[in-house]
Amino acid sequence: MKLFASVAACLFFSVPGTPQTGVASSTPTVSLPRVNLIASRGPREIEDLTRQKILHDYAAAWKTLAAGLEQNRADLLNDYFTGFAKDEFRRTIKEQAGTGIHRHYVDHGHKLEALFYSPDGGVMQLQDNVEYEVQIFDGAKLLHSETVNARYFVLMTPAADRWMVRLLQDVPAS
Amino acid sequence: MRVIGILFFLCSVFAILSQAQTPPGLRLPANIVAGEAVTIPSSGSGSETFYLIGPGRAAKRNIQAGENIQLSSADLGAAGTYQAIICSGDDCASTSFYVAPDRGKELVFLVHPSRIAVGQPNAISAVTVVLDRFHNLVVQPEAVTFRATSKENGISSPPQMTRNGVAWTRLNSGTKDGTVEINASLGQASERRVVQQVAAEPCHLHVSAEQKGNRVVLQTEPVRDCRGNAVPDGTIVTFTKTDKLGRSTVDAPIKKGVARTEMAFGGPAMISVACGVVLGNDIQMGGAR
Repeated sequence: MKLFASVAACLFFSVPGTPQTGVASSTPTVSLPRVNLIASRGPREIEDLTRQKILHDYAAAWKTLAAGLEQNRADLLNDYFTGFAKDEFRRTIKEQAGTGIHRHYVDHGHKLEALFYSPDGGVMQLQDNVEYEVQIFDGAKLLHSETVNARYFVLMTPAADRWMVRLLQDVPAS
Repeated sequence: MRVIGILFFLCSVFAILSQAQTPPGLRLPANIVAGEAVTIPSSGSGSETFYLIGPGRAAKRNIQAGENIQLSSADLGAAGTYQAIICSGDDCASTSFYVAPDRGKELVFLVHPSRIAVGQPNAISAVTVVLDRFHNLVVQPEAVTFRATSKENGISSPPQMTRNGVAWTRLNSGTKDGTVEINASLGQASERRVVQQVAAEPCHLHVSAEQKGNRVVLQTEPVRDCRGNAVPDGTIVTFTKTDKLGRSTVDAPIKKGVARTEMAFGGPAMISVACGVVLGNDIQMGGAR
């Protein structure tokens, strides 16, 4: 009888059931490039919410830029680019579309450092150490492919509900 | 004999390797500044396709190998890394080169806030970003001077070197109301912004009351801050009357320096006045306690 009870208990507890807590997927449906903010030099301290927004919006900016340069769609820049950066990339995309060129990016992640966050919170300058692969095509013909470790200077300014990239310029590695 | 054979083999290997690594016929200057026109000599023969891919450029041209490739000022306006690619049929070779920003020529100037109370320390933030004529960020240090000019005086900062293209400062607001002009200058380039300085909180807020029948007319003296600046018209002054019927409140804007209102009067009352966080005098009317 004791043996029967032990076996019954063992069977009862070993029956696979539905887990009590569901495990949320760590991969969002629309994935963004990986972006980390590793340092901040002031003079204003970056608030937590601002930090989160910067990380999200900068990642989204790169995603839309890569999509814009791949599909030659300048309209994709509207969401996260403004000012000189938007003008420059719009021109590039227009020229690409006119010549049949497009670029494919595989983003391997960004390490951001906030070089300057203005006292009034109106502008932030960032340095981005990024690694990506880029392939340049003319139609279907691959012209060039390489893995790039680059350093960018970025200026971002706040808009109504997000931070916009106002300037994105690559600089030689320090 | 064996030594000669080995040397011949090694020379052949090196020759093959060096051919494979060098893009055919593209020699670029080592230092290129944004907006410079560049001539790239090419070698070989036959027709080829040249591509210039950069941060602000995506160009494609048919060229004759052996002829010079001309890159205009507009081709290399954007600072950053470019790829020069030359294709002969399906064979492409590429080389990358960097275009550095030119000297500082333009300023982006951000001043905040546009309206400020007088006597506030470090309350005005002025940030300037130095760009070249193609709107590239000028990373090399450049000397920027800030200057604040009001009707009282003008103060210039010592030249301040940019860091990564940015220079900034904080300014105190002045002691007198009115506009203050803030300039940032870099060589011949200058940008100007105007900040409106307004009176701070009122000082010695004083109200007088005059009974007219069953009404009482309340009027402040000219509302000024502690430095004597007139508090701007439109600022709200709150009059409160407490009597046997309870409390009644009227918000009146300052007009021509004073705030004025009328309230019903039905017996002893206590009248008080406030503006922002400042309380004025109390008035007892009709023997109220």
